[in-house]
Amino acid sequence: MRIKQFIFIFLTSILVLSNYAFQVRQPQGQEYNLKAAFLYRFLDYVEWNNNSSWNNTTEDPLRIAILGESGLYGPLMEISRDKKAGTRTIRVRQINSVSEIGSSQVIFVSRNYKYGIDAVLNRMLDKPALIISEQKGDVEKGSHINFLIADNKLKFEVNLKTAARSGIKIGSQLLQHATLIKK
Amino acid sequence: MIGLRDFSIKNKLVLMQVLTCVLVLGLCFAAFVITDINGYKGRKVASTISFAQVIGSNSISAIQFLDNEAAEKTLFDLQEVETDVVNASIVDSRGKIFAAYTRPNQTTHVFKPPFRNRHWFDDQYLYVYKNIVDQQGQIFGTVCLQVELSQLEAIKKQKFEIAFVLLFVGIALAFLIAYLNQRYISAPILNLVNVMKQIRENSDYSRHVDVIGKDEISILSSEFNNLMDEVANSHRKKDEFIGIASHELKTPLTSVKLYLDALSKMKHEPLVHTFILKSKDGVKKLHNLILDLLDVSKIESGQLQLNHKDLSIDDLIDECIQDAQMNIVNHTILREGTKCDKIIHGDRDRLEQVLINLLSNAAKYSPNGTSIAVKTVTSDNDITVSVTDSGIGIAGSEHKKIFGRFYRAKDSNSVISGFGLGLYICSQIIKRHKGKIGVDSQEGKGSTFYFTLPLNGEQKLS
Repeated sequence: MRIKQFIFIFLTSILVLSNYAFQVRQPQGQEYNLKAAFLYRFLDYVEWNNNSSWNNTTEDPLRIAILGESGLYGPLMEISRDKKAGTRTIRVRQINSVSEIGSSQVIFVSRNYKYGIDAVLNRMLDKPALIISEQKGDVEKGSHINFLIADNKLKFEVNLKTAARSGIKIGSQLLQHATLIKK
Repeated sequence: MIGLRDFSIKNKLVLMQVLTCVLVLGLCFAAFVITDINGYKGRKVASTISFAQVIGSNSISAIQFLDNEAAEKTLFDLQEVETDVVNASIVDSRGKIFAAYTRPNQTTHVFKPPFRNRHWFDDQYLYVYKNIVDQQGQIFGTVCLQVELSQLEAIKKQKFEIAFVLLFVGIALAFLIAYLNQRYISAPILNLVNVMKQIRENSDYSRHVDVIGKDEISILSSEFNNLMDEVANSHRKKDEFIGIASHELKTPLTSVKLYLDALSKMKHEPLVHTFILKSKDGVKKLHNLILDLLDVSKIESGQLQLNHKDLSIDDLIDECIQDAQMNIVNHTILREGTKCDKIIHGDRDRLEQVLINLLSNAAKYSPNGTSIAVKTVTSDNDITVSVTDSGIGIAGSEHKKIFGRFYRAKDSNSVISGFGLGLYICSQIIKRHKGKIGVDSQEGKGSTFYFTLPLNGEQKLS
């Protein structure tokens, strides 16, 4: 029994340490892990317009589309396997074109998507989908939430104006952690 | 060391009540103080836990979005509500400090794992750990608080002060009540003791103790009264017997004496004459003893009559010395000092009896060939007559006893005879003259017996 416990603790510590080492050596992976976690938590503080069929309380799964190649896909898939957004299951898709967006409630625009945020905004104008981006200046262009890294920390900006136009309400608890809020 | 037995009943009673009061009040106050302190601690724990809960729910989003500043601001803002917080930390789910706050000018406390819901006290602080849990039950981290028990000391002090004041008042009241109560118990006992003392000193067995109520002390008092009645009764019977016996003995003895007197005056052969004289001597001694017994009997029954007249002390002393010297052949009796030339009011025969008694005692207890001195000392109000011998003396412890009835000196050998009534009769006679009788003596150094009589006719018939 003792030996089993010891082996378990030993293996666990090795796992933890190696995971830590892995994170240090792979800042890219660390960044997307965090982004995935943040994105998942945004879902708690975001309300879609009540009269839309995309209401949070429906039984339908919540669909997230990742536009362009991104390290976010892996970690987000992992989260969607284990967790739910409220009562809804989460479904994550990787797409390469705005035409594939369909009825996704959340669109993450990767920095690898070559047409940039403008293409998405043109397409999704006033439609109730939360648009999240990761390029500097995107929030000014109209992205609802934009990730940025400052002081070696992951932060985010919010554009309340465009979000409201799309029928999306962003909770004040989320806003208090945003570095910039455009109204 | 003073033992409890050395305390009077009065003090014991007071002590007992005060101790009982201290014990009961002490226990009550201990319970009161402990309950109060525990109540305060309980309230403090409850309020601190709710406080930690508020901090926790306000910090969930900050932890989610790794926003340390927001969390620290939360800690900083909320400490204004709960000013007793000294150290506060938010620890994330991995046990790492996410945000921390320390009150200015206070030392930083590092909160140690395990970070689960718990609280404990040390000397000064309350520590509370409260997990941060969202609605789904997921644990995000732990709020750790170190809270100063600032009011505890104040509460303790206040409660102890109240307890102390009340205890003091309680003891004072208990003492007062005990002091008032004890009189019902100790006063009758002390009264009984006083009466006993008086009875012993005055041999007045007719004195009774007042019996009030029906408690044990009343029973004791009433039994004591009964006992004294018995004692007085037996004394009376004894005195009656002495009175009757001495009277009955005196009558035939008087006739014997008269016949012997008559016989001694007739012509006889020398041997017969000697026998008659010896018989006369014996009869005289017997007569004196019976007279003593009769005197005692009269004194006891209050029938000793004094025949008061004005008389000269000098004459009295001179006559007594003359009379005594006739019977005392082996000692010289001297009148020392100047004559006093005073007139007093008294019974001449009885005073003579006193002085003769003192002189013959002096002769009896001092070696042959020595002298006996009679001296007078006058003051404004009284005159003191003293008789000094150079005899065996009397130990200090015996001084009071020698004026009692049937007292015989301890070392008295068979040579010295008598009932031991002489000094008792003397003291009673002097007492009835409103005077005082006493002795100055040391063992082996002679004795001075003296009596003091009032002057200037102030003395009244008793």
